Amino acid sequence: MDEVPERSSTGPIQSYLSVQNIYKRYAELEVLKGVSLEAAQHEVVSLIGASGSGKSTLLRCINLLAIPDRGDIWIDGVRLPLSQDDGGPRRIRDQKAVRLMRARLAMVFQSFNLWSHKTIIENVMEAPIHVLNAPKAETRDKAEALLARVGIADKRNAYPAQLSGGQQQRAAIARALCMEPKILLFDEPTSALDPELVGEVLKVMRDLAAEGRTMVVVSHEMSFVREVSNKVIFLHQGGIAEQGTPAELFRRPQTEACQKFLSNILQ
Amino acid sequence: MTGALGLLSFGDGGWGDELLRGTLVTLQLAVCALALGLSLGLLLSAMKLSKHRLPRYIGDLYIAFIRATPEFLILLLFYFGIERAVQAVLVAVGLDVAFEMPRFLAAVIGLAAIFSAYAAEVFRGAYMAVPNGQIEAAIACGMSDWQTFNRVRLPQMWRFAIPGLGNLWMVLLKDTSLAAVIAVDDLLRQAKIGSESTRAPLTFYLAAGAIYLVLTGVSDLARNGLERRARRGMAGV
Ligand SMILES: Nc1ncnc2c1ncn2[C@@H]1O[C@H](COP(=O)(O)OP(=O)(O)O)[C@@H](O)[C@H]1O
Repeated sequence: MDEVPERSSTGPIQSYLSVQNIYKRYAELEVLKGVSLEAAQHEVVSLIGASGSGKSTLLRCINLLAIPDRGDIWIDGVRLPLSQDDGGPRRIRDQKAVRLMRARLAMVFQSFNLWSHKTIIENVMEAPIHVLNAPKAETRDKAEALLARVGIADKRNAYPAQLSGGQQQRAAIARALCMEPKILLFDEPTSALDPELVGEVLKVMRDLAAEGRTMVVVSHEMSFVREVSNKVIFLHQGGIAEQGTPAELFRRPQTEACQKFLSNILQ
Repeated sequence: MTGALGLLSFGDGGWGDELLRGTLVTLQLAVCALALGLSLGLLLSAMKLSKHRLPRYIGDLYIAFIRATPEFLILLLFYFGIERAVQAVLVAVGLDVAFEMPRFLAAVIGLAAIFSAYAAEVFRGAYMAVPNGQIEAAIACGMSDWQTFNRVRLPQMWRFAIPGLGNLWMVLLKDTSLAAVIAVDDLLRQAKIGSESTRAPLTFYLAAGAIYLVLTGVSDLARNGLERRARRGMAGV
């Protein structure tokens, strides 16, 4: 295979995010078997599928929390600096470049993962100040505006443990937004929430989709997925079994696996 | 009663000054051993958490050795061991001087060696007690390994480590009395000297006991305060 140049006019520049033929295995378990994904700017792409089908792993490959064994990832025309695939484990070739890239891909986790020793506003301000070297006063103003936007301005000086799950997840979204990310990655953001708290988080996410954020979302909330996605990808046993617009996929699923998955989850 | 108070009074007739001096030595021993022991303990825990096998193995071996050896013996080994080793080095480089290991230093090193082995386990537990998701969140927003450790892991490690370290400090305070075996003039040794020259052992040993009680009591209060601070923001309030 030829070396692919870092910035290339032959690169898939028309896609904002391009995931190309990703393979990933954990020991004996082949979790991803050649998955590709394209997202244009302002698009929302949702990943659905049964538990264990590899959705989270795919999402975590995009910001290299998991390092794919094969395949490439391009973000806004720049290829992630992974060592060439030579059969052995791949490494990050340029840590600094990866950190800069991660700073522009914000991730929202299932279990919120707010830093418990910091207050809510400190959580939101932490990475802009210490990773992006943003000025403190400006960052504080921005953080306060974002907390107000997600409806928890009054909790700015509380610690994460003092908030409900829904409030914590909204704080985590504010933390993500404060980085002014190019792409937002959501990893089952409502799965750890009590049912009555799911709505408040989905509402924030709907607003983000409506204002044209580029988002990749793993979710089991099918009505939400159907409503906000430009494209839905159904993963089955580590591969893409089916993809299309929500209308196509939800109304006329082509594969048996997808029909079964949808009929199970929708009833 | 006046007899006992007379013995413990300050000035020429009483042993109060000696006991006070012994108490200061005890505190100095404990604080120095704490500082050294915490640093060694951090280093040891880093070895135990290493990706490489060799440092892990050395760490395990050291901890197993300290655990299996009576504290009394460890102090003697460090005192005589370091003295012999330094002497051997001096001879090897052709210097013909007699080296005498400072007793206080030997006691501090011995006590720190003991403390560090147990502290390493406390640190390792604290390291692993920080939720992995919070570490991932730090990495995911672009923090370097050092920032992740320094800004997310370390500040939370203290919270998990303080109760365990508090217990170890209590043990250390009491273990300082072992320094008396290599003739460091700590509280216990002063009490012993006093009791032997006045034939009032109970008075002196009760007085020493009371002083240890005050030291551990104050430590307990300090630990509670630190724990409360470290738990800030954790469970609810
Ligand atoms: N770090 C890991 N180590 C080992 N196995 C893993 C790891 N992460 C995920 N897996 C396995 O990979 C499979 C796919 O997991 P995941 O991507 O989380 O699926 P999904 O998000 O669709 O539920 C599961 O069987 C899971 O046990």
